[in-house]
Amino acid sequence: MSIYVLGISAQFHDAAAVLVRDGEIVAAAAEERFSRVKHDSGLPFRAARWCLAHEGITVGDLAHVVFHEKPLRKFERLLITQIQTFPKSIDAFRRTAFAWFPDKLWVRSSLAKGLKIDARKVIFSDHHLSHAASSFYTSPFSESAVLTVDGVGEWASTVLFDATEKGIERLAEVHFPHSIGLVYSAFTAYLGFQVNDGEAKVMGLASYGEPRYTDEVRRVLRSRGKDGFDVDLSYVTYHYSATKSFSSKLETLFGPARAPEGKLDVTTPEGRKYADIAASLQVVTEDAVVELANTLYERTGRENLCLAGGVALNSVINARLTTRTPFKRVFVHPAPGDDGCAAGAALWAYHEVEGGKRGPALTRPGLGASWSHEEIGKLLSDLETPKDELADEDTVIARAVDDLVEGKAVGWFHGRFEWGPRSLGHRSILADPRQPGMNDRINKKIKFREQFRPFAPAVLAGHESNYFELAPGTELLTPWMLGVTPVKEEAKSLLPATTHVDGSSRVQVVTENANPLFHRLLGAFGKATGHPVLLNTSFNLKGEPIVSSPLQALRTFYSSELDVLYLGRFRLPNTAIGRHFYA
Amino acid sequence: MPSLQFATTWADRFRTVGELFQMLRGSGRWWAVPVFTIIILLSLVLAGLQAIPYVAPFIYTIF
Repeated sequence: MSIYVLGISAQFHDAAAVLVRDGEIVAAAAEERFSRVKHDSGLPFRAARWCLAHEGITVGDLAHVVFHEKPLRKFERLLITQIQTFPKSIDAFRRTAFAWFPDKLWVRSSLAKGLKIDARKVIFSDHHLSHAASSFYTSPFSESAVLTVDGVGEWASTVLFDATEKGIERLAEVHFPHSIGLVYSAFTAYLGFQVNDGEAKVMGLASYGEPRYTDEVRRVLRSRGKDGFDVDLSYVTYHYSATKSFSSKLETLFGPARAPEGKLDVTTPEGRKYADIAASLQVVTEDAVVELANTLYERTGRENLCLAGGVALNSVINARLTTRTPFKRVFVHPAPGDDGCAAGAALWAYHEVEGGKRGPALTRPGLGASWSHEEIGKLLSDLETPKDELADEDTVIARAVDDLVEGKAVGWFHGRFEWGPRSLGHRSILADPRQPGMNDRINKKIKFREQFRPFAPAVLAGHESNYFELAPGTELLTPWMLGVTPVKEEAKSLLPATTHVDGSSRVQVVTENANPLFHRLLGAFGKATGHPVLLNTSFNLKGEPIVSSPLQALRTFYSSELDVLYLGRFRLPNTAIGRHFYA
Repeated sequence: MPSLQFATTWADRFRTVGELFQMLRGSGRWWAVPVFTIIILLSLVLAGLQAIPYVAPFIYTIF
């Protein structure tokens, strides 16, 4: 009889539910895919119910429901920090009181009530242990060093682990308020982007700048050698404020903060200065993570490194770890942020509470919901949407290749939606990366986002070395689009739409096993053009979650200037009638 | 049975409060026990007062 464990992450950002059967993730979804609230932090009942329905089980079949962290420890940290920083923390205290007493403190009873399950089945993991388990137990490694670098969990912001078949052992940790993730977020706010959402924009912006301010950034995030790092708390306010994360002293150091979400032009001196600060932050953050990884290597002597935590979304750092540390291979769970904690919590309980045998490594991104051809057909008929029903997958591939070669931007909706924040060929916007200006067009007319945001290339497995200079040991990052790599000099002019301003790309290598249909599409596009590479970006509009259902795909499609949508075996042109009804 | 559900929910909540104080004792933060007690009581009063429509705006402003 199978052992089922349901993992839950919630209450900060990116709530998610993950169902593990005998050590293997069989269903996983962020709540935002159902609620349509970006980074939804509420308890993920919709995602949890979908996980159970997908597997055809009930809550009675679950061995445990595992919450990703210990809320009481987190509450303790909040109150003790606020007592220590009183009276500056009075507003934060008010927010804590009104968020925790009516709601957050009672997670056990809320989960029991919401899922209609016996409260005794609800158990609690530890935030960083959940992160570590998400990475180690989905990696192909039997033993590995594990580094989790985050904003903050209960008390820890950074933890060093050693993982073997016996379990995951905690070696050392850095406590809040000293946090690489929160310093990065404080700079994100200083640079005018939204915390917990704009960190990727800071990373993209960094490529436009020169690291002229590393000495200044190092005054904020200070290296402590083998003891890790600490933060000069006079530059930040996140430990006593719920609304602002940097102090006026940071503005004295770097100049006035950028207006929130204001226009940013990197060709102006002011814009370049912000890009230089972002580039400096990137260098200092990378150095701090590398230092931690080197310390971890010295303590464990392992060849493999698993990374998790929000900072592991920094794909530039991920891809440099095998060249800047003695580790031979690096793996990052496809959802390294707090959504991934749901997977880790479930995997931790399966292995370390239930004593279950190790499950298989994760190789496929499609772990979310899917819709059958008949379901999509019925929806389109009910809505009287203009469409072509294509005979089979061969025809889908042939028509899609024709559209892409003609320079059309294509919405691509196939199979189960992806686990994690990346679109990996199930809910994607695809285009021909050889066409100059395609990136500008998609940023401006389709995704309605900043011009400096780069696009990633997806390449057919086996052809990646023709275009990209992949560092040895990073091959486990590329299936999940979690490593930034230099583009070969001769390929830069071939792939202008996916080569970032600094000559890099966040490449996705697509294998047949990971996504058979997308693999075939890349192969067919390669045959037609000589280059099996496509621009692949998430199927959403700025500020919205990635689409999950056909109806959401239709709305996004008709709200943008995408040219054509492949919804399973249906091909839809972007017509004025459609735009009228859905936009 | 709504009344049974109400009782179960509150039993879970008391258990949570018990675990909170047990945790403080376990982590050697004895000094925090009276502070937490006052904060919890104060917050419950404030949260309760905020639920009264005529009083809520004053609570929010004062705080």
